[in-house]
Amino acid sequence: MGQLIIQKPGLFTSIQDAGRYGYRRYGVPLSGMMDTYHGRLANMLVNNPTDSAVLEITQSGPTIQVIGATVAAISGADLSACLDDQPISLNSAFLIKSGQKLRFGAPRYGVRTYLAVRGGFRADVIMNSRSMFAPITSKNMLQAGDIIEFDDTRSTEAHHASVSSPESFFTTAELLATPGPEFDMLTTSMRNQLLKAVWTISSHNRMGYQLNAELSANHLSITTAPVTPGTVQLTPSGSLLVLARDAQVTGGYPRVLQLCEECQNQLAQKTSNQQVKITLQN
Amino acid sequence: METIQPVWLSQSIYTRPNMDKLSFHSLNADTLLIQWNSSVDQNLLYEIVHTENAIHENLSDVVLETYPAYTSIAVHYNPQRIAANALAKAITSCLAAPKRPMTFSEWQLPVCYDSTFASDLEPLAKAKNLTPETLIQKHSEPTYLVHFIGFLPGFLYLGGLPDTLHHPRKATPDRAIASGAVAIGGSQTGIYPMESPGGWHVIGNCPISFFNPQGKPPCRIRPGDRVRFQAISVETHRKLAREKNDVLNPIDTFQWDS
Repeated sequence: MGQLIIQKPGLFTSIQDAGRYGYRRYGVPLSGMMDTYHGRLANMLVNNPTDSAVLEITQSGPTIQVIGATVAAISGADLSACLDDQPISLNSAFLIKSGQKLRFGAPRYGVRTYLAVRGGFRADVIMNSRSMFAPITSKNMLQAGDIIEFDDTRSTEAHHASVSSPESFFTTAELLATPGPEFDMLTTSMRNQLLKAVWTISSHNRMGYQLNAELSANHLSITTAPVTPGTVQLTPSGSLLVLARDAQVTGGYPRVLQLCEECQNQLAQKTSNQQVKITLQN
Repeated sequence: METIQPVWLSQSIYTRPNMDKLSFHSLNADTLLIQWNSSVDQNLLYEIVHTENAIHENLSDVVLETYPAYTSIAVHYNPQRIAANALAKAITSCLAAPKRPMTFSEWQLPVCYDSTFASDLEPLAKAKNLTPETLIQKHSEPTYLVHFIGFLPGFLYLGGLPDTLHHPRKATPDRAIASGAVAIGGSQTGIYPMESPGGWHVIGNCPISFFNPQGKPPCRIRPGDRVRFQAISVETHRKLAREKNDVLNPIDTFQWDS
């Protein structure tokens, strides 16, 4: 069995797949890749099913010793990935030989990048998924000394798969949404403010993105109701909470908008202090 | 295979004879929300449980999962197999079938209300103008109804907290509420299945864990079940926690026939 030995974990590196479907009735979040577009792309480049387990690497990447040979691909944010000090091109399959070391450097653009190896990473499947989410899995993220296994008996035949991902994916500030169930609760003036405001990302993690603007406080609340990744909640202070993959399955703030899936992926590549606008999709 | 054209549903209302109006709303491209326009009560809870059961019995070829809350159900479906409007119609028609009685369980959960575990018991009792003993008695007297599970894995949303115990959440949430903490927040009471930040007032601790990720199902307490709290001593709490005996058996079963 091939092994990735995590020497330095980086800021937040975790194993993710398509998510933990079927357990939200028990209060278990969906989890899975934050940017499904690039996670699936990394899998496709190494001929994996698109829902195979990948490493999700956030901003400051890990240092990884690889034991065993494999075909790999990195897709998503440009975090200056190197294999034994040789820069790796994003969105192209490449060969890793046993004993080589993967390292990441300064982030150039984007926030999250995905490392896939042929055959996917092995990790215990708990509730239909390998995605890390404590306490469903024992931890949320990888730590120094962790070892992740993969099948190193797969073909490492030269592979020239390569795609380009559009730059606009990372630079666009316009996010498309549809009206949420409580959009009608808002006054016309609140709706206008919501859709005209320039929102600044104040914090983010795998549970959600908080967006701030000069929006007035409100006293709107709802009976606790189901939410899903991409649900945009209006908080009493007037900030927005855009729910992400590890968010709770129910919530009590008005669900004013729902971000389309492609825009959830685009938002997952943004970080604090960046600005976005939210526009209604036709 | 026939291609299904995606349809976006915003507030489609279906009326059924002698029933509340149901509205359907697309939450996203593969999740339909069923919303009841009535207040939270026992009848609505069993209507929601019945609806979920009917969906799983009749539409399992197109529905992947459902998750309920107080007055609504989210239905995650396969948009390649059915469009939102067709699904709304299919759900409405499978609800037309006569209802069968449903069987539920009643659970007794041990709770230690000793000050060791109840950091907020005294201040809360003072704020409510009760003695801690009366507060404990009022909290452990009722039979609570499980409406749904949300917030955290295995967190039960319970109905039935006496009005005299309602109390606003803390303005500043605590950083870490202990696993097993029994707490009051607003008009609700609940048990934290794992350590978590939270703004509820902690009045006790339950030593039995009833959520297990490896369990099938992971949580045996279901929406529609009844829960009672049994006051236990610190010694019993210690013993139960040490035994790590997570085998919880219902003390009773009951039928609901509407």
